[in-house]
Amino acid sequence: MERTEKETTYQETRRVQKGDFAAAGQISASYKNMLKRLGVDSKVVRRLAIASYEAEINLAIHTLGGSMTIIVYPDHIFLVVEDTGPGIADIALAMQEGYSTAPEEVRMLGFGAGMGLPNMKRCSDTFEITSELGSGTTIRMGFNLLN
Amino acid sequence: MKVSQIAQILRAEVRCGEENLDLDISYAVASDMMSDVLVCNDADRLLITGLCTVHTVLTAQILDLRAVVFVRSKRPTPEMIEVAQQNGIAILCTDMSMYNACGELYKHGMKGRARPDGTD
Repeated sequence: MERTEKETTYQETRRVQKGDFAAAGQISASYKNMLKRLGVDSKVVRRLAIASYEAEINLAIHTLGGSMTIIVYPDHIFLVVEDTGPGIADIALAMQEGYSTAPEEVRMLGFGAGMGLPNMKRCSDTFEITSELGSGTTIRMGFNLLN
Repeated sequence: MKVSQIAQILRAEVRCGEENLDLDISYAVASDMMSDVLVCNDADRLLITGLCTVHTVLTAQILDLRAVVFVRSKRPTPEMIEVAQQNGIAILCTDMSMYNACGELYKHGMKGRARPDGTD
């Protein structure tokens, strides 16, 4: 992500509030519309929108709140998802499909099946996750526009 | 299978997206868990679900799906219809159960697609 500001086509950071499930998805939908307008390949837009939607839902369900930053370069898009806690105790376990700590009320709304993190990894070209209990989690996803 | 055929087979009411009735959709996915629907990113799918929330329509929007069937007599809210209309998604409502709706469509040749590798 060592890029100069001059190369950046577009950058924006938006907040996701803790527990605001009702609004979750709006940021991802706006990314999708913006990337379509920029003429990004529809398959890349879809992959990014899925990864972003999963991240946005996770921020609302699992965290104390956080932010999503999208940075668009001519050849690459980065999506950075940061939260302020509580952090993930065991990342390897959280990355397993089907493992979930989502409460029952979230499952009743159709989410929290333990597919979010692995799906973000599957949809992105590069995926990094770091987490510290008490501090929070950062996820960096990259999407190559030149494939 | 054309969306109009799907509506006919399921005896479904088309609540919005009539412009999609002539579109062909090759595969279907049936689930009340949007987490599971999001696992496959193939846009050429019909979503069959009993989860009638705005996040169902948002999931269809994110996946570029062109039609959603609500089973078990679920009826979408005006907000859901508005989001669907804005994004060119047809909403169909049937009184059939999920099991029978899937069975009828399968009988008429529609196959499933739910896994990341494109299989069912």
